[in-house]
Amino acid sequence: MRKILFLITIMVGTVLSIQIVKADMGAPSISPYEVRVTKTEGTTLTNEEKNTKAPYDTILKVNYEYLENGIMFGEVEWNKEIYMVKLSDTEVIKQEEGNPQNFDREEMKYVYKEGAYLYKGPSKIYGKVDGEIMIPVGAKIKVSIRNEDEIWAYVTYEGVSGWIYYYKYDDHSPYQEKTSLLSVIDEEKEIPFITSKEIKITKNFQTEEIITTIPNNLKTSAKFKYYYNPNPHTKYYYISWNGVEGWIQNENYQALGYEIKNATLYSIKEIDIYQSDFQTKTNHTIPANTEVDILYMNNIWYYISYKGIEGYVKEYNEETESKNFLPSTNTDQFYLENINHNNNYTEAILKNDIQIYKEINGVKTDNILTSGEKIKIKYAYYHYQNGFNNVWEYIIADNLSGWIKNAEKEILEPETKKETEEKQENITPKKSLKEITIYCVISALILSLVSFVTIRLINKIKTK
Amino acid sequence: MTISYLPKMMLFCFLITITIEISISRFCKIKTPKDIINIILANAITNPLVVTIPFYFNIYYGVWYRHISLFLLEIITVFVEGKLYKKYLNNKQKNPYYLSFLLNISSFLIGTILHRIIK
Repeated sequence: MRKILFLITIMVGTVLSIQIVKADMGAPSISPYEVRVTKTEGTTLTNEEKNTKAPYDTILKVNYEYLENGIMFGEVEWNKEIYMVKLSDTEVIKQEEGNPQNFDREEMKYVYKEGAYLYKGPSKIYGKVDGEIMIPVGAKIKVSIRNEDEIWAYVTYEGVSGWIYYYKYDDHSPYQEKTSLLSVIDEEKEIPFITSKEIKITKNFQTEEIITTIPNNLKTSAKFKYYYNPNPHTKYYYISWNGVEGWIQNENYQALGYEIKNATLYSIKEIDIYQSDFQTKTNHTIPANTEVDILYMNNIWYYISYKGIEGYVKEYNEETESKNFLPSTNTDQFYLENINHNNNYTEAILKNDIQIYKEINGVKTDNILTSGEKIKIKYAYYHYQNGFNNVWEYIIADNLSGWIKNAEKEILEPETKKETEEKQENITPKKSLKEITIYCVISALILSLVSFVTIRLINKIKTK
Repeated sequence: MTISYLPKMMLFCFLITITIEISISRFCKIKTPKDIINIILANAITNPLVVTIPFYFNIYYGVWYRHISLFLLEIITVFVEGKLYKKYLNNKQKNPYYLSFLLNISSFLIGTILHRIIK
């Protein structure tokens, strides 16, 4: 008996020495987060101008994190000035729980490499969630993001909630490793596009291993599955094109133009039509005050069609520092994700009687619109003239169209269609980790019982 | 950690445990097939519960509860298996509770080391 007790003591000691345990640091919180100074002599706060000391037990609010020479620093405000504090001199204060309803938007993410761990809060100093849950490679997850937070997102994966590091631009990551997540576009949709230069499809966005190339000036389509945005100037897309899958780079967003329907441009002046290099002019121009159809576009150039002639034009003329065109309303902000947005009018109701012009600063027509009439605004042109800011708008009302100047109007908000609910999948919903745990405990109990009965039976048989 | 982790872990732990315990028991001169089968069955009674119950506490209550439950379960296991060995093992040379303790501490330590290495 003494031997057993002695050995139990050794076992306890061994268990405690082997196990490395972190105390539960508290529920997840939203970013920014608060910390308390735990260094007994206080901690040094530094900025470019001076150093100061925050005493023990001071509460500081961390707004940004920085990694410098392997040490994590937090940016805090202290006595109305901004300082940096060494986060190892602090501990996190318990914050409110993350709640998806408190976030601004949701995004679909794809886990493309190992390391997508769940954390207890929006910083690594909170520590990983119990069980060190890592979302596996290939998983698609819906994350909740606050607009001001470019680093941490909140997710629930198989019944376990936590924070995941997704950092938008890896080049300035506060942590050493790059994020494991890509942004999902739509795996199933073929998106038509045109190339303004030869585009390489590579095996990996981090290597130059070329699988194939998409020729210049080709109208084609591909499935855009994921994208990776390492900095504000470059996007890598993972696409499926002509049976080939790989990565393409859209540097400065110049290489691709996406098909768009029911979009037009209105030329303010005579415009040259270029080839895809934007150096070689075609022999054609677009006259002033002309509507042209946009076939493809990105946020740098348009590929247009005018009287059977197709070519490239830029919205902005860098030499003259002026716009070439007025885009119709749906072309103002263009992103790949909004490619099917077809509404190119803003509806409004006039509040005053107004004259219709044929052109901007041009000849009046005989037509006048009266107060209360409903109009559709297709283009807007902001023009500073004679000391006044003038707003010219190209409108359509009943059978009339033309330009109006400085109209008083009430903008009608477009009717938002109710978003259709997601289809219920016919497959059985996946079980959460918690449910599986309960099933395993029950299975273990059953197995133990069966084994107990078996051991009794076997020994009874042997005895007989 | 994915959803299939726990069932795989249960099987892995059980196989490792019986491998280690059978090896150690052979050093203790327990060699007869009946005794080996009894050792396997004794572990089949205790091992699945010792693996799943701490995991349950970890998921629902946190890591501290996992450690406490594991510690208590291991102690209970020693006594339960000791009782079974006392009743069913033919080899009476060793004190059955001492044998149970020896087998369990060995499988626990070696299993922990293996888990760290694999991780």
